[in-house]
Amino acid sequence: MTALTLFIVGTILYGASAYLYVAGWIGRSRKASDWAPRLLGGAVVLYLASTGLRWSVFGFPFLTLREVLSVYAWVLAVLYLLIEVRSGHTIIGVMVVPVGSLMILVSSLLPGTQQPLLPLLKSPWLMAHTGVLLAAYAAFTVAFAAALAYLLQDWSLRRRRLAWRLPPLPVMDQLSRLLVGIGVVLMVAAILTGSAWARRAWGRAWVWQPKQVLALVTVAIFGAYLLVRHASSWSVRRASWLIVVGFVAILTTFIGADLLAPTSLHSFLVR
Amino acid sequence: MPEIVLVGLNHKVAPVEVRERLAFNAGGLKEALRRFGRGNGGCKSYGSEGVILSTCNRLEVYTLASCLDDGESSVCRLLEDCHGEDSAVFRPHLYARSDNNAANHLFSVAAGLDSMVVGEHQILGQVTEAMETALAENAAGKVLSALFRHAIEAGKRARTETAISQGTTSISHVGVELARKIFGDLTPCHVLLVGAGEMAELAAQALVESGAERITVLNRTRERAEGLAKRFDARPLGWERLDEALSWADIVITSTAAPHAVIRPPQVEAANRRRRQRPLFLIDIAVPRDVDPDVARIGNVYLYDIDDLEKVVEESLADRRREVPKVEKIVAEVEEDFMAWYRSLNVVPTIVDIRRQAHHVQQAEVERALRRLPNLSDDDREIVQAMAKRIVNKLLHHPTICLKEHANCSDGYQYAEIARDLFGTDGHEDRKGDPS
Repeated sequence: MTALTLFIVGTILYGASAYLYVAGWIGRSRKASDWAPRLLGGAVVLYLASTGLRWSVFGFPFLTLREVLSVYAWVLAVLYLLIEVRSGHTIIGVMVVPVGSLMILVSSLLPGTQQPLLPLLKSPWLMAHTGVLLAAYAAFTVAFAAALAYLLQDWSLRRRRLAWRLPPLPVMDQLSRLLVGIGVVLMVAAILTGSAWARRAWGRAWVWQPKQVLALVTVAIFGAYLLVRHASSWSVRRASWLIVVGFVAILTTFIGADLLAPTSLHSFLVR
Repeated sequence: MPEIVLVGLNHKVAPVEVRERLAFNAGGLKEALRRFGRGNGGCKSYGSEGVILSTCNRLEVYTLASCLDDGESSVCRLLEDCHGEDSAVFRPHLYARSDNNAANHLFSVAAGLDSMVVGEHQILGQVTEAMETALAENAAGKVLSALFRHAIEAGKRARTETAISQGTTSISHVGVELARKIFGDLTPCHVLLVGAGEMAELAAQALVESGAERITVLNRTRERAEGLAKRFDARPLGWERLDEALSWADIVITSTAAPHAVIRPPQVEAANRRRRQRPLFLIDIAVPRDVDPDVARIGNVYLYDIDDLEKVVEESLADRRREVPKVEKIVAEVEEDFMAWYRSLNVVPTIVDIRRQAHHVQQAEVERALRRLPNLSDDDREIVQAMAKRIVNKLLHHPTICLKEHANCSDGYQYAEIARDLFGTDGHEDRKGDPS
């Protein structure tokens, strides 16, 4: 089988899994909820096989927006599967897996690599920088979903309604804390590798491009969340809103920065 | 072919005065079960098989009889004999069903559809126990034990595949479920009882059963606090320490007879500063309320009064009722499965199956022989065909007569089953075994 066939079948499985997560939740069907992670696991295996094949033929995969979105979706799937295996709660999957499959869908509609790669970007640093950043984004996405589940459960408890199928508050809170912690570490690492690379390529470690600044803001927001959770009397509810704000910052970094500075090297439009 | 007959009554059709007269205790149940079957110490037989499901909400007797009316009257006799009651007392309340209707009823019962609280768990255990007791007393035979195994399957499937048993339907357990959603694990939670009302005691009991270990009782009268504390292995505390207790308690259950609120926002706010981010769960069971409703606005505080708890119970029941159609579908599937097996015990279809199978063998063999004898004339071919047919008919003649003779006896299905075994025509082989 070719890499493309594997990828397409994997993508279909991903979409089917997203459907099962949502349908299982709405229809309260345990059968659907049981099958959803299996399909997702199958999708991930096919995707890894496809990437392996592609890699050996075309080389490095993380470059265009198309590729970046798709890699993000798959990292998200792997991360989420780990969490479901550990906690057994599917609500995060109900939120995250449809988003992931939507990302793949969007990425497949975008144009593929047309132009030759700028010589400046032909570097192993690209992989380290982008890969780590994508992992950080995936961690933040799951933390965001957990925070939403927390806020939803909290809201229903305050409305004197018991949301039976949402997990207990501490479970979601701990998950958010863990993933924000991981995300912050990864994002700092991505910024550091980026600076090291920039220093070699451009001679300057930091050039104050909008994407760089927004990335700093993002890290600052999630860092503030960790600080607040660690040492203040803020309620978890209030702290969870910080994760929501942080996630908006990520979206701005990812999409907005290209609009602000379309010609910068960080922009996907350049390539 | 005997019919499966169910005769019984439940909380919907019979008042408790009638139900209590017919309820069996453990000894009485065994004695009643011994009356089923044949050759049991000269006792009068009430049916070749019997299982009795006796709970506080229902009494149902499952048996085999030649027809529904026979079954009903023999069960009435059994109940009269066992309880010494005149059947006029209970007969008007009885319902009687046969075959698929009886199976459907039992499966619905096991799935919790017929219970007072829809989807409750206990009934499945009671159905299992009824079958085991009947098996131990040799009252349940092949048909009824298969019926009950299917019922247990229906009950298990209903509870795992649908949300019919989800949620909590008692007020004291709602507190536990809410606490679980707020704290996750209850073991490290500190429970504070303010006041010593009976409802509060029940709620605390439920929390202890779910793992809460640290209990403190606070009451205006010290003796009452000490009495309650002793029961829970808890610490009694003087009333003056309420404000301090609010800063370390996780779950507070209030049930004082005070005419006004005893916990107000300033107290909780002060306590909250020392609590840092830990949530505080207040369950106010008292009427008039002990906790000022404004307390609910404070961060990390979850306040439920008695009406809120009742609302949760009602919603939980409404959720369960929404699952009923799904469970009915499962019941129908299991019923179909069971009836397919049960019908295979019938004599007439058995004869048809055996004959059909013999016919297939006959045709296949004749064709094979004729292919190897291509030179036969048409007359010769007819002779060969006729011979094969006669052999089959002669071999099947006696078994057919014998099966037909037994068709109308109560043990007919046993013959049918043996015949199916011998001829290997069990079309329902896959369904015959344990449903579990």
